[in-house]
Amino acid sequence: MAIRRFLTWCCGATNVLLIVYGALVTGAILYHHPVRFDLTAKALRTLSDDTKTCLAGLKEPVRVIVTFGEADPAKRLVAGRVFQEAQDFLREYTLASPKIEVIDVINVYQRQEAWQQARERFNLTDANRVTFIAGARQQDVRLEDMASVKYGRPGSPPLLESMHVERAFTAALRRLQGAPCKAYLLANDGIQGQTGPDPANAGPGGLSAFVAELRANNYDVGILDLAREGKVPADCEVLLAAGLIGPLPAEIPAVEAYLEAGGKLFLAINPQYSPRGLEFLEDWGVAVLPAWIVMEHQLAGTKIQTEHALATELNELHPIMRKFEKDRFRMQVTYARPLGGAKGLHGESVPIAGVKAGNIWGERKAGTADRPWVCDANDYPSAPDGLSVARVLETESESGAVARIAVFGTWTFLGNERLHEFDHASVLHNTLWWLIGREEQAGVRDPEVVVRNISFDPEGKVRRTLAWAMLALVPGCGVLAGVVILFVRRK
Amino acid sequence: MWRRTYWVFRRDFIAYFHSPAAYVTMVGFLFLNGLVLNFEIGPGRAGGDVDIALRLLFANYFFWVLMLAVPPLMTMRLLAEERRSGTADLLMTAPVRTGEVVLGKYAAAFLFTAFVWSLLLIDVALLAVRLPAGAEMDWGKIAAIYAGILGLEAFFTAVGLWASAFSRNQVVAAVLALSIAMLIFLVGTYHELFSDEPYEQLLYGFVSVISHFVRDFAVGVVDLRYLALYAIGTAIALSMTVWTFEARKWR
Repeated sequence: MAIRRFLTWCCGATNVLLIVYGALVTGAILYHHPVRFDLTAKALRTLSDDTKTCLAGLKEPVRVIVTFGEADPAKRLVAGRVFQEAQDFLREYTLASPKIEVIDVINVYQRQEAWQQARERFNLTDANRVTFIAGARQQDVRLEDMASVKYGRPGSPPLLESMHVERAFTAALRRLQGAPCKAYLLANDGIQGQTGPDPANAGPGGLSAFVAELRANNYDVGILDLAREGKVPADCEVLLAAGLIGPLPAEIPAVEAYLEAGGKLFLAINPQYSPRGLEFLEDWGVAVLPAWIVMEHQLAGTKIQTEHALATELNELHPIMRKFEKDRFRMQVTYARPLGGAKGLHGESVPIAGVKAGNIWGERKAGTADRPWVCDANDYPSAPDGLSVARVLETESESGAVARIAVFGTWTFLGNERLHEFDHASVLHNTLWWLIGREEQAGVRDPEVVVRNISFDPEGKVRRTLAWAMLALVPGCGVLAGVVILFVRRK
Repeated sequence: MWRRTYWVFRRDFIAYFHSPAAYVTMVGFLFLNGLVLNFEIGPGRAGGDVDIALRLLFANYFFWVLMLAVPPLMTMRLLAEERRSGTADLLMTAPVRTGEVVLGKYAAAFLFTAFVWSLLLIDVALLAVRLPAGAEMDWGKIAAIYAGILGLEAFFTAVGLWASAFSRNQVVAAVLALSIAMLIFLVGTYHELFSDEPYEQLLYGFVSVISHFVRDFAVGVVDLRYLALYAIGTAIALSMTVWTFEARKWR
């Protein structure tokens, strides 16, 4: 009996030891090969292609320090939410790249000594920011960079509308790497004045967000008055003409000389206002077709609402587009003209953007207040397979220099109002990366995290209903179920 | 084998619904969570932000008290009561293996624990219907949180069953299970309180169940490493339960 008992005990112990051993080995393997599933509705915790490319290209270790703390109680809630989101994303960054290391997260009111030490060590000027440090260089991401916050009257709490933490972090990492790209934005006749697409205009149609977006992504943006300067500076890596209404006759030779020397031109043109621009484009092989894709009601005789405006699907024929997945990419333009194929003089063009008539339009020309003005491919016999809103060209001059041009038949998507809607910023960045020869950076940007608030009525009725339901009704059902079952059982 | 396991499972699972203690646990559970959610969703900490409210609901003190306390309450009776009332001897001599008894009782306790936690979905659904037009509840995030809850509760339930195999007294079994669960819970907080060493931070951070929830499950990410950790713990605890129960057979 004793021997049998001992053997049984030994058998059990061996089983347990084997399970522990197997468990440890499995644990060790899993620890080194993490598998993570992002179950959020819009894959908010999955890093975008853009970020992954950026992380893969990191040349040196990047240390990150987070400092936060808000004295104003009204703002504390928003700051806490944004910095929580920042920490969540930093975790994804550190898991995606071993080169990213979060060295400390400091609440400046709770850890004042650590805050002072970090201030001296990293030369930090202020808290409420995420600082990325590579060697002697560092880049700050502030709360305003990570979130859209609406400030009301003084003393009232700010409203957090949305967060774009990943976009801000990736832009900071990109700024941290390498030398900035020198870009010049064409001014003077290339713009429409202070109320139009002007970099100084912070209104809905202005381009201040466009310039800010470029600067945040390691572009050194200069404003170029070509009519006055006479030529494009030699250090210009890409020439930007957004909202072009000219160019002036004096500017065209300068742009052409720049392109002949292998220049890169980003052109967002409003064909309605820029007949000279169209002539210039035709010289370079981009024919603008006579019909409009979308017209404002004054021109078309039908009313079109902005929110119902054209949403295009772009095909994936070009490096600019290849990272986009069909279901993730959307672009909205209110104003675009189909750009025809390039022929002859300056080489082949590649269509990068197509409006699939069948995908977008329900019926032909049924413009009403609740349904947008519509058209179909029959309206445009020259482009039966879809209408381009953008084209790119690559040409080789006699000297062997390769020039690149990207032309958009609209500039509205670059305006302050629209730049961060849909995938407009991604289109911009991918186009610029292709122009400056860094198409390997092309990717898809992260979706915004929209803050979802329970809508409480001013009298607090909704809150009271919830309170009653949660505190009395739901537990009360449990009590009732228990009483019924016990009663039935006793019976 | 599965048939006998099923009969053990069925007997114990139904017994839960005939016990007033289970209803008291459920009602207390719902009331506490309703209280927390009301506090969090209001103008206080979450400021009406549903994502933050959910995060606080599934990672606050009450949450952890319930996470640690519910499994011992569900398992304390299972084997201890069999030994106290003498039915354990009948089980031992019945044509059913110890492993089958343990597995059946474990499945019953775990499923009932899962049922108790699923009641919290009523509160989540109440929140979902109050969201403004255009905003939808992120059910993927809820699924991730529940994956974490079920994984960890599976582990704690196995620990509770093991504790129940030790003693004839239900209270002793519950206190023992709670102590072990508390120890597992506190090991993970050690690195945040005492350690500055990077490798210790890494090790304790990996086993910290709070970190698992706050950093991953509560934000909608399921990290299989953590679920594997819980599964490993469950397998060890169950095998030790079989071993402990089996050893008593020969006394």
